[in-house]
Amino acid sequence: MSEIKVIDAINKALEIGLEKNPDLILLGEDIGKQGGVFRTTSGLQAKFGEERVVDTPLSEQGIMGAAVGLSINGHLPVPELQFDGFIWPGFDQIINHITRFRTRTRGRYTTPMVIRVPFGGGIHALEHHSESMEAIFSHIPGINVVIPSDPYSAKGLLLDCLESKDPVIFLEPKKIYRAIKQEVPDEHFKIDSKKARILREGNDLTIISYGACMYDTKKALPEFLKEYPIDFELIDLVSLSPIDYNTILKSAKKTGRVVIINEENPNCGLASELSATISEKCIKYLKAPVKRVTGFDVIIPLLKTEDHYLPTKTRIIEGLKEVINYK
Amino acid sequence: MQFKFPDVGEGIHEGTLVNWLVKEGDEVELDQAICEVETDKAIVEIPSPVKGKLIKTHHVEGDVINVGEILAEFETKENTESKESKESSNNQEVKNDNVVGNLVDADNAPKDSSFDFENYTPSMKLSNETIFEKANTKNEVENNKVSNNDNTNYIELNNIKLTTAKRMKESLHSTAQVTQFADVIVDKIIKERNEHKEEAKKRGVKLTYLAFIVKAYIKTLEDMPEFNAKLDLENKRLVLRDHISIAIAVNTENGLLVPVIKDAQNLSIEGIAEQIQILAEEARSGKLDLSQIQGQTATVTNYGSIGSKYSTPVLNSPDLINLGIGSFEEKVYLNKGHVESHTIAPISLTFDHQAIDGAQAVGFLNKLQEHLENLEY
Repeated sequence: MSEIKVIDAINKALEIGLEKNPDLILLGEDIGKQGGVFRTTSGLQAKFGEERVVDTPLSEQGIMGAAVGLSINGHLPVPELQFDGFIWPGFDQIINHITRFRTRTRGRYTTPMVIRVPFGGGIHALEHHSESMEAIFSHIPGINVVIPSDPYSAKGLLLDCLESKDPVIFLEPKKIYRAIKQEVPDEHFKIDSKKARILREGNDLTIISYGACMYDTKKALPEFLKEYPIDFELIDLVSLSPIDYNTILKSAKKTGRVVIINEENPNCGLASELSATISEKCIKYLKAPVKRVTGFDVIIPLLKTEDHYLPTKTRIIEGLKEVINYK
Repeated sequence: MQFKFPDVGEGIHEGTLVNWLVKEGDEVELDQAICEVETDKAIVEIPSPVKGKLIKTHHVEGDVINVGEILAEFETKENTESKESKESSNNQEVKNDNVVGNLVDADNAPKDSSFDFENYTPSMKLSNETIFEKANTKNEVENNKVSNNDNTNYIELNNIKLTTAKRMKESLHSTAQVTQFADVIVDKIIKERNEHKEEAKKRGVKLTYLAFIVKAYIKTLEDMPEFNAKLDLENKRLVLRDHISIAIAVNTENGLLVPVIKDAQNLSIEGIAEQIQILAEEARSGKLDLSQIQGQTATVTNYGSIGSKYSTPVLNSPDLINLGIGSFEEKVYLNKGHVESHTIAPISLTFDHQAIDGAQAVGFLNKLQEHLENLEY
């Protein structure tokens, strides 16, 4: 066990992956010599060489296209797209090829790969660096979308994804790349990347979150629980596509109260999808309407204003209160 | 704590120190701007990574600083306590440097008072009612309220009140109502009435002041036919009426009724008085039929008869004007230095500003006043 951060957890998982699987290839902009814009791949090129940790030209379409070819030919590409906002030139490959090869060839060819994407806001970065576009990725059939919320899950989930037979978009919440230190096993271990994690079991309120918002939710909880010391259940969604409805619906039926916290633009979002399904399947069990605490339907603003876009502690607590005080 | 020059934007590896905004020894807040650095792209303010004391600056103004070089040193509560452990984790900090944006770093951030899941014992229990149970309980409560525990007093509204409610709302929703006022000297009317009221009485007619005023009102409407009209915005025109029919607001036990003196332009003052008398009686005894409360071209509201001086009557749509008459009052006036006393009728004219301008309305009021004061009919 070592106390490490999300960034180290990802680095370690990639290192283990490269050691275990000789077909695994990392590719992306500045991931080799420089170790990636966030340093997630730091030291890996020095250890595994330029043919396994490949610095690519600045072309997301090219990176993703190369990944398709590598994948069909038996390699396991792990492309890194520097920021979620830069994914769109490569999105053509994702939506038109990567998600479809299995169907298109009736199972003869598949395109397993793990597309790593630093994700979400909260670091006061430039335009195109802070978007929360998980709903768009999750909307497409044929690809799994996975997001960790702490160092432990970052390592375990990435190692699980590296063994997936399907392509995965692995969203890395950049706000918490370095914010949390946690004891994580040094050796290889896996966390089921298609299952939600119940971080605390409880009977009276289900709180669902993921990524960096789980970090913010945990920070808001002590103040809320001081006033309302209730028996809450906390669920880390983990798999945004497919959604682990077994866990979610069971919890919703048990507690009858659900709050979903994420940082996306709410219109047609993942929180809406969860809310709709919970309402559809559990309506008779609900003790309050399902509450969504999200970002707003605007382009995520820059710098300090960004803090008001993201679910603040106040908004999270208000959302929780609204549900438990519903009359 | 050593603060290294952070990456301020993509691809920027160095910057020129423009100036320090704080000096050694200053206490700084988290995110307070400590210096300005000029890069290829812009001059940017570098925020303090901590709340604490700036103990050393490592560069002077004009220096070119590379990303990762030590810019300043801070003393915070935390690093005074555990200086050694900080230094031992220096290797990790080096990795932080080349990053877009500001990432919270567990090594530099104050220890997270993260929630202790294991030792948390809930002590509050929430109600177990579902939305539907709540809704049912609510309905029961509501139902009980109506049948058993209703302490509220009601006045049922009759059709007259409901019609008034509807027409008042429609009127105010569809017109632009403005009211102007004038004080009219009614000495001559009083004299005239006193001279003729006994005669009229013999014929069974109560000769009221209102009849005189309505007569003058009709005369003014004849002078200015654009007031005896209705607005037809759809066809971009005012529709002038070929008759003058005056509606009179009558207060009855059941509510407000507004019967109409048809073709009033053909009636004498006594004829008008007679009509008013008949209509008011029929209104109060509930004998008016529909035809008697329709077809007006202008309206009079005599709130003076019940003791009010000033009011802003609401238009009786589709009329363009409603004349209000307040109670008479004897007043002292100065006329070229001489004190005079006169009896005054305060009158008001509400008009639809969609069809009539303020100046026109003043013209109408002036003319009406002239007719009333000089008995011009």
